[in-house]
Amino acid sequence: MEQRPPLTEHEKAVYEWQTWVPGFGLEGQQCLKDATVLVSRLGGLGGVVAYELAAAGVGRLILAHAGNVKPSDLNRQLLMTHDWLGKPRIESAKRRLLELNPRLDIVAVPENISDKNADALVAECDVVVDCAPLFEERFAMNAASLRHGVPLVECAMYDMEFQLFTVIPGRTTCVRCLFPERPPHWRRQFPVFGAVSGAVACLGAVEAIKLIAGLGDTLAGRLLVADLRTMQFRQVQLQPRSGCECGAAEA
Amino acid sequence: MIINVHYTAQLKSSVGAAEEEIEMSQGKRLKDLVDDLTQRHGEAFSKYVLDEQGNLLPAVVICLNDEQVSLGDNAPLTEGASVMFLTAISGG
Ligand SMILES: [Zn+2]
Repeated sequence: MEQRPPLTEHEKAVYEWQTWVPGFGLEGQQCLKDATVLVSRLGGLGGVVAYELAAAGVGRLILAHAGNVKPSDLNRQLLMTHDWLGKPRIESAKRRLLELNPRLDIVAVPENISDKNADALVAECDVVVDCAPLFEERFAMNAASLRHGVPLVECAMYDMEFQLFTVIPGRTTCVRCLFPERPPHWRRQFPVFGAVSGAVACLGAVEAIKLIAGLGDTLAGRLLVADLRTMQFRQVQLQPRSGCECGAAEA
Repeated sequence: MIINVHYTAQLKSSVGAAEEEIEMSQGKRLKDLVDDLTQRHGEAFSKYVLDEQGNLLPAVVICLNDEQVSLGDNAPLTEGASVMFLTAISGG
C-alpha cells in the first residue's frame, strides 16, 4: 500500500462512526486511505461497489468502464444519471463519486478490462473487485491478479441470484479453477434488478474493506451463493483445481 | 434414500425448479444421480451440465453437502445428502 498523509481532522470526523467498528479503528481508516482499489465495470454491481468504497474513504479508485450511458442502464447503474444519457459512463461515475467524496483520487479508464490493459492497471492496486459481465474480462483480470499477487473479489449475479468469492492468488480457488473455459451458455444480457446487483455489490465492498484492513474472515476459498427470490443463502467450500495456472491446488 | 437436489440460475429456469427430492436406492453415487437427472429432465438438464461426450461442462460446479466435488471422484451418496448444480454466471 502507498503511504499517504495521516488522516486529517475532517477525515476523522467524516469516518468517526465506522472507526467505532471493533478491530477497525483509526488504524483501519488509515489503511483505507492508503489503499488503491481497481473496480472492473461500473454497472449495477461495480457502480455500487465504487460508491461504497468512496463513502468508506478508500484513497484511490481505479475505475474501468467503456461506453456511453443508455436508458437501459438507469434501472441499476446508480452512478449513471438521466442528464448524462449518450455521454461517457466513466465521466458520469467520476462526477457522482466526487460529489460524495471530493477527497477521492480517481483514475478513470474509459475501457473495459482486457489482456491488453489488465497488467498495467492491476500493478497499481492493492485489491481488485471484478464486476464484469463477460468471462473474457474476468479471465483477463484473474490472470493479471495472479501475476501480480493482488487479491481479487469476484462478484456475479443473474436474475435474483448471486455468487461471491475472494481469491488469494496462489493460495485459494481462482476464477479459472472454477470455470476453466468460457461458459458457452452465458449471454451478455441478463435479467437484473438494481436492488439485487446492489446487494451483492455491498457484500463485495465489505470483502474489499476486510482485505485492506485485515478485518474478519473473507470468502477466500468459500463461495457464497444466494437466491434472493427465496432469501436462501449457502456457503460452499471450494476446491482449487489441480493443474490450474494459479497453482493453489499444489501449494 | 432421498437426495435433495438444488439448481441455480439458468439451470434452475431450464429444469423449472430450484430444488427437488430424488429417491435413489442405497449405494448409489454421484454419477448415478447425474444419469437419473438426465433421464428425468432430458436436455433441460443435460445441456447446462454435460457436453456431447457426457463429460461435465467446464461451466458447472457440483457441490455435495456444501463442498465442491469433482464428478470424476464419483462420491457415494447418503440419505438426506444435498447436491447443488451451480452454473456459471457473470452478471455485473
Ligand atoms: Zn486456479
